[in-house]
Amino acid sequence: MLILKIAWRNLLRHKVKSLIIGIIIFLGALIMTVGNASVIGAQKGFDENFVNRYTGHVLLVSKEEEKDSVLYSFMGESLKVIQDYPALKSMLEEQDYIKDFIPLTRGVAVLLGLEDTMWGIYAVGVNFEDYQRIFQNNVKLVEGRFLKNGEHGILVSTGTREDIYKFTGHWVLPEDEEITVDNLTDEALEDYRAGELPVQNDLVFMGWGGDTLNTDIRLPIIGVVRYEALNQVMKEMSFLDLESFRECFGYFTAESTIEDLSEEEQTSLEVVNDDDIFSGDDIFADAVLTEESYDIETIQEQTQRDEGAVNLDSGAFNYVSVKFKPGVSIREGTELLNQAIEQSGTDARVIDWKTASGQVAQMAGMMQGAVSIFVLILFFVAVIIIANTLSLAAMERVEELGMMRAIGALRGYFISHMFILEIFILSFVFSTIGIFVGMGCVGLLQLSNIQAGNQEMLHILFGGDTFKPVIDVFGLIEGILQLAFLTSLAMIYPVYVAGKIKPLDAVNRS
Amino acid sequence: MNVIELKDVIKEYPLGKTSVHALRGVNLSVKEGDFTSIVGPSGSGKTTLLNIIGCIDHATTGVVKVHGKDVTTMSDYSLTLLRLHSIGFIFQTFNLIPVLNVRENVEFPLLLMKSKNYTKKQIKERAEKLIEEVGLSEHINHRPYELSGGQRQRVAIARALVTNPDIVLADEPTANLDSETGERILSLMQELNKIEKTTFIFSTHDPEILKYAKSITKIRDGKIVA
Repeated sequence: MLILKIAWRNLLRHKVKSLIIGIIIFLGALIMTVGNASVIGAQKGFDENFVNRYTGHVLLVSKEEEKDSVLYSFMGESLKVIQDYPALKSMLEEQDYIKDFIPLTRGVAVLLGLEDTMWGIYAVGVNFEDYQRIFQNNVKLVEGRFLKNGEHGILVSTGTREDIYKFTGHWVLPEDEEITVDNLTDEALEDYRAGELPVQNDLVFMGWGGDTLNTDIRLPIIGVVRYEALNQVMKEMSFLDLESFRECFGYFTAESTIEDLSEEEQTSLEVVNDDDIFSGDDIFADAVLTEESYDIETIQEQTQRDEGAVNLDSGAFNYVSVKFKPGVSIREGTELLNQAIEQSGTDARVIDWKTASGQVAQMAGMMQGAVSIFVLILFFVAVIIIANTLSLAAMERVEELGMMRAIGALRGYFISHMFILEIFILSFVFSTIGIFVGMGCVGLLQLSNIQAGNQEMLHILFGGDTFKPVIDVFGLIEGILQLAFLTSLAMIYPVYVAGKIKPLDAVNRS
Repeated sequence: MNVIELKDVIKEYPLGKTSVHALRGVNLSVKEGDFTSIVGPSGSGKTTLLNIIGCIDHATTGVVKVHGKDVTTMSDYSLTLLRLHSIGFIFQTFNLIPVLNVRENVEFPLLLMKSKNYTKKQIKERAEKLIEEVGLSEHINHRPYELSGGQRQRVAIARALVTNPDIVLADEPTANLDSETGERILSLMQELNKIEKTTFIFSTHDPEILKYAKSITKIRDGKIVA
């Protein structure tokens, strides 16, 4: 009680010094609160946006796949195909901790046929309706319409469209759509006004890389899309329907799968060989002409691909995005999945979303880390200033402290405690104010709805399209602990200086 | 019985490559209840001698005994407790705690004495009694800056006596006071020596106040001369 009284009155006695140190602590608490809230907000935003809207919690790839950064590989290198996806699907359906999953293919498709330029686009092959369901309708329509499951075509992202225009001079437009002037880039608008903007309603692609024989396919542009979250980061990802993707990359398509052969078909396959087909004298025969006429539309109808009858699961997939149920951590879910994979013997390997996202997630982590380091540097500067000011204060109080020691105040108990209490009171009062003002600033920042605009780095730094700092209990506790740690650090030297003051120093000073 | 015994005490202060000899083989005994003055010119070693007796400085060589205990081998912790329980200090420059009022300044040493378990009431009564004895009851709630030099020194005397110490050391207690106030302070110390039976050792170079001393020790150039 006596120590508290002396400490409190000393602070009031040295108002200017107390205020200087208090302001530093206040600013430290304020910066810490806003800084932590920003980093936590960015991390949460990035994690939520990526997990919920792009990757799921974990990705399953083939055991043959050696890369971990499977979503963005060097030069668009393709991924190994998962063997026997239906078996993997059955296994995943049995796991009660899994909320949902979706198989996908991904790769870089080279654009052909537009001028002399070759340009690759980052393409994902997926059942688009399923994709939207699982990833919270993250894809928003800009022009045209969405792909339906089983329908052939491409959804071109706004970033891809701009790149295509930049490198080929063609403006990509969905079939049967008119140019929307508002969506044109400045350069495209100039061309449009000059009547020199060629429009492209379909695109020819060929898969890039991989171990398979790639083929070129022409696909109609069904729609132009953007992403609700992290559009600036992901704007170059376009969607192909699964079967077109497989054809383009030379993968095994579902249509080419023969699931149930009749006994007769099986026998025919076993018997017939090349020699049987091309031997004998009946290779050539005279054509028999009849009067019968054929209706081309009827033939088309009879030979049209029956999309509904094709089981898309039987074709090739590169990876499966898996979302866990709420409350299941990535570590826990990964362990359970690994066990299930081992038991079922399916061809899969689990990669968490951050590892799979590679450089993008790393860059986000690095940028958020840089913010944390900046805050930390500010803190250490504050620590040095506080320690210096308090040490000087201790030196100025040699007579008082030395006299206290002379009349019986213990160095390790009374003097240290008095000094610690003085710093504690300052820290408590000013950091409390700082934290509350910081919370107010965070509230204002949330309300001000700061947009990342076209700055990709800001999207990564913000963890989304808008700056959304978040105050959470753990963040606050962490911040208070940081402050306590730094204040403790700041008081070590002044307490040491105060403790070193001897009674004789007071006498000599007198 | 001797409360203080010094034998062949030498104190040297290093000064670059040489050293300053503040005390050169001092032998001294002070009896219980004495009211003794250490007299000498400036630089003769009075303050050094009092500091060594008061355990706030240590002898380079020699033996210093307080109540028969050799203090030269004691730890800083033990010396602090010894000062708290057995020695009262009155400094030349008053040295009060500026943020505490008169009562709190006087109570301060008692509040440090946790082992004696004084109750709050006992502490208050003891402090008020001494404040009354030094004639400052009217100023009990005043802070040091609201008091005159003489009043502050009286607070320092009350604080030095509050723990009922065996010895009170006063280093030139009247040096910063006018002669009238100085004489009143010495009279007060003399009176408390009688009432409290406390041993007083005070240094001075003012021959006018020697008349208050029961015994006088003269020091010159770090040596006891009489």
